[in-house]
Order: sequence, then C-alpha cells, then structure tokens
Amino acid sequence: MNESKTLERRYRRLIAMYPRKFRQRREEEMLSVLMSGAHDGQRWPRPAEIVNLARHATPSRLRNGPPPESFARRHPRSVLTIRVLLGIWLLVLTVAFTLRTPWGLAFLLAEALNVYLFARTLVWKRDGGGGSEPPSTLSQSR
Amino acid sequence: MSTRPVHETTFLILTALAAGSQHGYGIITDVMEISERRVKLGAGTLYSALERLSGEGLIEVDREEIVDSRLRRYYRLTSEGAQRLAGEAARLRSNADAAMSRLQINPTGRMATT
Repeated sequence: MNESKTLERRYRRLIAMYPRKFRQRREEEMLSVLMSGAHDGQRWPRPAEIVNLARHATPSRLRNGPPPESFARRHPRSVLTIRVLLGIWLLVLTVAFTLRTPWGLAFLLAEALNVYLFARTLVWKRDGGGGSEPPSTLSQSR
Repeated sequence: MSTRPVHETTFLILTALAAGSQHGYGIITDVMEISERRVKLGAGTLYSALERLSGEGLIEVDREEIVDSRLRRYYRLTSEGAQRLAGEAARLRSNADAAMSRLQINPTGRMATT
C-alpha cells in the first residue's frame, strides 16, 4: 500500500544509477524483482541491495564480455614513467611555493601520495603484476 | 570465447533456466535452491548477467506477463546456451571426478611431496 509505494519510489531512485538505455529495457522488470524480494512493511531498500545495485550500475559492467583492463595494468611501465615525471614536477612546485603558503603544503602532500603510489606500483610489478588490480593513478583514486 | 570457463553465478543461472523458462525473481529463488542457499543473487548481479547472457545469445526472452500490475519477463535457454551449459557441466564433472579419485588415493588431501 502506502509503504509499498514508498519502497517502490526508493528502488526507482536506486535504479536511476543505471544508464538510461539500460533502464528503458529493464527498469520495470528489475523493480518487479526487487519488490518481490521485499518483506511486508519494508520501507527502505536493504543495504546489501544498495551496494549490489551500485556495483553493477556502471556501464563497463553492463557491457558484454569481461570488464576492460585498466590503463595501469596494460601499461605498467608508462605508469612508472608518469609517476617519476609527476614526482619531479610536484617537487619543483613544492620548492617554488615553499611551505609558507597553503599551496606548498598541498603540493607536498600530493608528492607524498605520488611517492606512496609509486612504491606500490613497484611492489605490484615485482610480484608479477598478477592477482589484484594494480595501484590506481591519482585521477582514478578519487 | 566459448572455451572460457563460465563463472559460477552464470552457471547457476543457466542451470535455473535449463528445465524451463523463468522470470527474474524465479531465477533468484531457484539459484538459491540449487546452491543450497549458498548463492543469493542480488538484482544488480542478476541483471548484469542476464544482459551479458542475452548479448552472447545464450538466453532469450520467452514471454512477458503482468502480475499485480508488475512486469514479469520470462527467459529461456537458447540451443547455444544449452550446449554451453552441457559443455561446462561436463568440464566441471571431469575436474570433480579427478579431484575425488585423487582424494581417494590420499584421503587426507595432503600432497605427497610436502
């Protein structure tokens, strides 16, 4: 009744995370599945459902075949080179701005993060690059 | 691509559809039963898999029904899907047989070289 309408609205909001084309094809039947799994009086989607929908709503997961490999996995050597160059550039910026301004501190922190990710990339490469995903780049890690 | 082993979730979904067509929630409950409640598919997981399996031509839409003003879309295996499932089941059985026969030789499961 009223609770069911509320729950339906909340499920629709979660399904809204999916690409529009996918929703056009699947929204109604997906909602039907979610509502069938709900217990009497349930007003909110379960946390596990929210996590599951969020994980699968990205376009790459909905494409056919295995998910595309990350840039870092395909080009580990380029990533190391980029990190070294970025490290030098950040060091120059840190020195140029010194620690007197907030920018100096921000660049110093960015440099520390870069060194940390560089070290992780090295460890990942040494371990053969298998298993888990390689460390993400600065832009991916946000 | 056809030689790539299928993921357990995919295997269970195909198995759920092997006896006849089912709608989304039917697949979830059936997969739970087949796996003895070990695998509970989330709606997100299910629809990612259905999307992929439809794209690969292993399943197709059988029919649609409206029940309590909600859409139920039924899926069924294609002949390619049935073939793929049979092949995968045979592969798993062969692996399982090998494991069982070796475990019989050494029931503790410990490797002789260690």
